Amino acid sequence: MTLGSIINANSLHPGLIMIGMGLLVMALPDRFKRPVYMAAPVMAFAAMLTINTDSMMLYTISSKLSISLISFDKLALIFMMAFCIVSVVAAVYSVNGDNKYEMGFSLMYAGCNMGVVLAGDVISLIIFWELSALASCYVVYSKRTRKSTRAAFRYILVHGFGGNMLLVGIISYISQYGMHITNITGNNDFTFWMIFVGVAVNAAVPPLNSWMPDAYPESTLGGTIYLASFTTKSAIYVMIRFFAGTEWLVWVGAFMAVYGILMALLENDLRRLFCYHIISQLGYIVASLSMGPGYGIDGAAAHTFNNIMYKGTLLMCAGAVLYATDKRKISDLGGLGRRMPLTAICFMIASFAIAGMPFLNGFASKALVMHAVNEGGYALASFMLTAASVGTWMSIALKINYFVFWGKPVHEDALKDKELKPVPVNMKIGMVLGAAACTITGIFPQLVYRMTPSMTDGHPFTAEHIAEYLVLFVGGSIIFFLFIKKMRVHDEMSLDFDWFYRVALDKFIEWLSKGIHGIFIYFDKLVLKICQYMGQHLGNPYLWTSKSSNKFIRNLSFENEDRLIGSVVAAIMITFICMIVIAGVVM
Amino acid sequence: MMHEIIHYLGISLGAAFLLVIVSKYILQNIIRRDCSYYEKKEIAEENEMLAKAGITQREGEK
Repeated sequence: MTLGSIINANSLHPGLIMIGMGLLVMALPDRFKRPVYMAAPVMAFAAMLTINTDSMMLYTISSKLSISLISFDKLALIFMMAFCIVSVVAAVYSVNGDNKYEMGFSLMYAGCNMGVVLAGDVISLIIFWELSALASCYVVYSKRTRKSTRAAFRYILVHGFGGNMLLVGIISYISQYGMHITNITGNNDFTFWMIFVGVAVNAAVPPLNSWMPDAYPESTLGGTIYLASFTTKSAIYVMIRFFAGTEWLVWVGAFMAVYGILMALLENDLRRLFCYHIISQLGYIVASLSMGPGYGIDGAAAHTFNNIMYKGTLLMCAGAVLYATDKRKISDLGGLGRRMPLTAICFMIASFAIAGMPFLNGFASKALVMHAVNEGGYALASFMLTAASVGTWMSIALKINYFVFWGKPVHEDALKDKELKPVPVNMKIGMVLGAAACTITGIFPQLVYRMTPSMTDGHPFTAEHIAEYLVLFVGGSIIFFLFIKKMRVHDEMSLDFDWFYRVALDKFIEWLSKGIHGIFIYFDKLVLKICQYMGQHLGNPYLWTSKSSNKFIRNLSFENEDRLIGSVVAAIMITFICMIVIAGVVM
Repeated sequence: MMHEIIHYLGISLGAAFLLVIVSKYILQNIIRRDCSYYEKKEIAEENEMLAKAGITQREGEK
């Protein structure tokens, strides 16, 4: 069988290009790693631009089974566009990395997520999904510290669980619906729940969220950009495909939005804080997709696109701070605005964008999300999302800009005499590209709206809408500065749902194994006692008579020197007669 | 317009106040722990295992 007979294609697959180039980076000598690493996302971007709705790639497994690797529509377009842009930016940012295996796996990871988005059926979807989990696990591990190794181990266990749930769901799905990907909203059956749990793990829906703040901050600077851009976003894409229009998800989304903010307000570690903001922003997206086609799906798609841009920029800036200072905790930082002006400005743009500042991209996509939720008549969910917007303003735009860049350090002597390491040019270019993307798509939101499935225009620049957000920020700022002492962070960590499998499950298993061990010990002793008893008494039958409670039997014992011989003879005779009677009955 | 502004100002003040109370006064006391909350036990276990196996940790290893 030739390659042409098993692959029938009229288009290049950007994801496969990334995977192939990732393998090449690892296989080639070290001196080729950077050019190949940079070329991969550019080539994938170029390939993506050639794809249209007629594009197809069929992989024939047998005469009866072929899987579709490319299926393209407007929803896939906006996700692919975001993935390709962020792949280029992330490659620029991390091109000076030393570990070619990390570079290779990062490309493969990005490629697998592109494969998920382009998947034309559920089999290719699950294949790319599982490969993505493996590749991302290496990206988490690639820092090769004790913490990153353990985080990667927990990461693969959690994603193994999620992947298996999805696999079971998809097997069940195929038996019910076939291989084509369709919306299963309203079918609250086994298939629905298995797929939902599998996808919810990757979408970081609480209580399945804690792998993210556990794993992402432990990766390398570049690795974190990749990790924050793909897994959760491709999960959102799959969620839109399967569950768009499932209205109860609006409550899941609203809860995620508020939960992420509450945790972010407490957090001291910069990158963990951003992870909680990813969860919060995913909450907006989940709430929006629950409202179905139109504003709902368009809001979810547009907000995902914008989220990838500003979140990537925030993490790049945090990476630059970490690189320059070698510190990752807010309590160890302060007053960096003057010492790292470019990073501070890029960070300010991205932090204002995530909060929804007018003329930055978060503002434009939040308009669609809020319109969808309000149109659905969910006033409480709408209030929760608005509260989350205020919280986002407080926990990123104010908290980090104030405590890390522009305000006085929490500890007066923090970084006072420390010389900062100069940030490499490629990292600066990455940050500037990210901030530029936030600004351009914020000033011209039609660039994003036009890519959404229904091309809904949110008309965000009305006086009322702009005033609404500005007033929200004023209110948030008043409370922030009123509680400024409380807003200062302390060098502590927050427990998350991972406590249940890192401590509670650990204790439960210890308790269970001790319990099982105790039961075995009990029966062990019991059997030993029985054996001892039987051994003693079978070996010395006279013990049966000497310790008997019956006076007549005790009288027969060999230990009893005063026994009556007549009684012994009578006992023997009775026994003998009994034996004859039993033998007669049996025979 | 003024009515809208007052409405949103009320929402933002109320929401911000609630978020601060829940996070900084309630959750702070319930879920905040020492930074080495998980690591302390893990490191002790690792050292015990290494000691049992007769392996010493390399100096400077993170």
